[in-house]
Amino acid sequence: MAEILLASAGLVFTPYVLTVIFAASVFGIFVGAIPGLSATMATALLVPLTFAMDPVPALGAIIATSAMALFAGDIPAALLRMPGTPSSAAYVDDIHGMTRKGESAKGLTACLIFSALGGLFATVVLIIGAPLLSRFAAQFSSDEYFWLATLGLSCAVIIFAGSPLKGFISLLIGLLIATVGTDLSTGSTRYTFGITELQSGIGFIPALIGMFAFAEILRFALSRDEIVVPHEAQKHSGLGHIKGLLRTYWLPNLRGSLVGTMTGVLPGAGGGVATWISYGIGKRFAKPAAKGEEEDKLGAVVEASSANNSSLAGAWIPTLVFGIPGDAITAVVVGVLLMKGISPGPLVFTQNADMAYALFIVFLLANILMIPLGLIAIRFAGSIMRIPREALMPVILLLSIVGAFAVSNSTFDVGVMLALGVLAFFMERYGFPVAPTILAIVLAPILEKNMLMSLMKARGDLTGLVDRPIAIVLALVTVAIWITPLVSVLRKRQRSRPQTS
Amino acid sequence: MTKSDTLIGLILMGVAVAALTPAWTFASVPGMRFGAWTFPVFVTIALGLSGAALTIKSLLSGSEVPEVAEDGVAEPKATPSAIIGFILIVAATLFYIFAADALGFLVTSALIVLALSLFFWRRPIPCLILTLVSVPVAELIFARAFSVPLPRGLLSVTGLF
Repeated sequence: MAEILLASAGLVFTPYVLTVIFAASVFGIFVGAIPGLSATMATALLVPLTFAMDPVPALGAIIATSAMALFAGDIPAALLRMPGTPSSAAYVDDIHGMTRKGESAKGLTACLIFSALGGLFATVVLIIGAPLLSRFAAQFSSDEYFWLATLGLSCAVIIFAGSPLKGFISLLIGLLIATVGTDLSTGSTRYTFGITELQSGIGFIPALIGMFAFAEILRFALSRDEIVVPHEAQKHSGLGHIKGLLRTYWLPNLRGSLVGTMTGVLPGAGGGVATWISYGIGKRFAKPAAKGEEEDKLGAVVEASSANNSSLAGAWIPTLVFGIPGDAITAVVVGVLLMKGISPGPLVFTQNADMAYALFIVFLLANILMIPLGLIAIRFAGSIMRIPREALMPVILLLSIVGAFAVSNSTFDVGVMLALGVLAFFMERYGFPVAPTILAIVLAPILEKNMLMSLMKARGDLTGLVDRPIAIVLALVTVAIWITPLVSVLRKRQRSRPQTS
Repeated sequence: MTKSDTLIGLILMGVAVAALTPAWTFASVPGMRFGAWTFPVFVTIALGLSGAALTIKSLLSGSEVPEVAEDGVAEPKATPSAIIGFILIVAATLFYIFAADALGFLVTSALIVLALSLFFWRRPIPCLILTLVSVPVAELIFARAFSVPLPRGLLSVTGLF
């Protein structure tokens, strides 16, 4: 074990890897702090830059960027009431309320410190839990992997806050996109229309850049609201608040970290879900305001921002152990791992143990680095947000084009990015979530391959998918996930009927 | 649900039928009753049924439902300038696809960044500086540092790029 840890540390503590992590952190903070640019967009734009890197710096860059961008999303939420990432949306009103009272430095410092602590908590769980779980997962067959992928996709649909039907349609669109290309079981092609480039399927990276970066540029073109940075943004220095915050809010931090990690582990769920759940819990536990005093809203903010970053590390558990991504960012991780010739799954901890532990070290480093970088970002938040988006968007378009092109050095992939970007733009405009689509594109090959393997083992008998105890449990959980909301809808209707009649 | 959901549901049904027709002809695993067709057939049938459900739900909820986003906030009407900006971004990407091989990365990208920044930012000198900085930096990172063979086009004759 000590040998592995030493080897892992040797992979991380090199000038090259440390520089990559630092640069990725600065990039993540910058993108997250710009209103309208999300953590997923930052990750999507970063992926092409990681093509030429070894797995540790490549994945380290993704870890650092996503962790920083998730925190930095709180900056425009606090100062402009515009959540920088969807995860910050839960507590945007509370944190902006503090800015209006001149307490933005305190609010943002709380978000920073407890985001970092949440991330560190989940990393410890990841370090302890993932290798243990991988021993258990080593016994899994295609049956269990089929049900895990189904469970992940089901969670992505059911947990979506809007219409589950629209979430399901988004998922099916992703699954259909993923069927394009050569089928591995028969060697025949599907939906290629004689186009050679389509034989290898729709590229995941161009799809990702299109759906998360290009679609964002299109959204910007249609709604160019002028950003007025408030005067409060100029006088930040959060350093003095840290001690008091830690003393007052350690319990909401612990609760949020726990909920965030657990939600992150759930395949298909993401940071957005974790923050909403934790925000709700935080509100419930908030002390009622005494007479003449205002309600303390920071507790719920602390709880939610702790959950936000802890869910990120939590989502890495199913990603590394089962190869089932927890959210859109870990879907990118699966794509990058596959691109580097590493199949995520329990074997990662035996065949690539030094890499896996090196990633854990990167997680710890990123969350520690977040504090000084975050404090600097809070200090200069006003200046970051004053950078005109009108100047940034053409450059982001350029990076998107080059990034999509760099995947296979083909302008065809730029076309894929364009097509899926336009599709994602219209999907979001009409209330269809994009995250299930990208998860489906990643999970469809896993789902189909394991389904066909199980069917082959059972000579076409469908019951072959549920002939092992863990597969039965996973199948039952999946069915329960689909039935529970249906039952609650039916109950609501039954209850409302006597009242209306 | 919105009025547009009726139309989207119909489009999805159309896509499902169009995708289902060839899906039946995809190969089977030799000696088995399943194969390359199984997964797409399941997905397209589910997509068609979901499209139908969306249309029916939308029709049942009434035609007087206003166009609103999921969070209940009405989508603001896009201004002509916003629509031009939208089209310009799509056109710029298409321009890259069709012109990059002939003009090369540097020229095509410079034209795109300059045109878009002039349209959105409307400050000629900063736009020019932005173009002169961002395009060579992108070329430096991708082509030089990461060895991505970006199209050289016109400038290849100079022997410099």
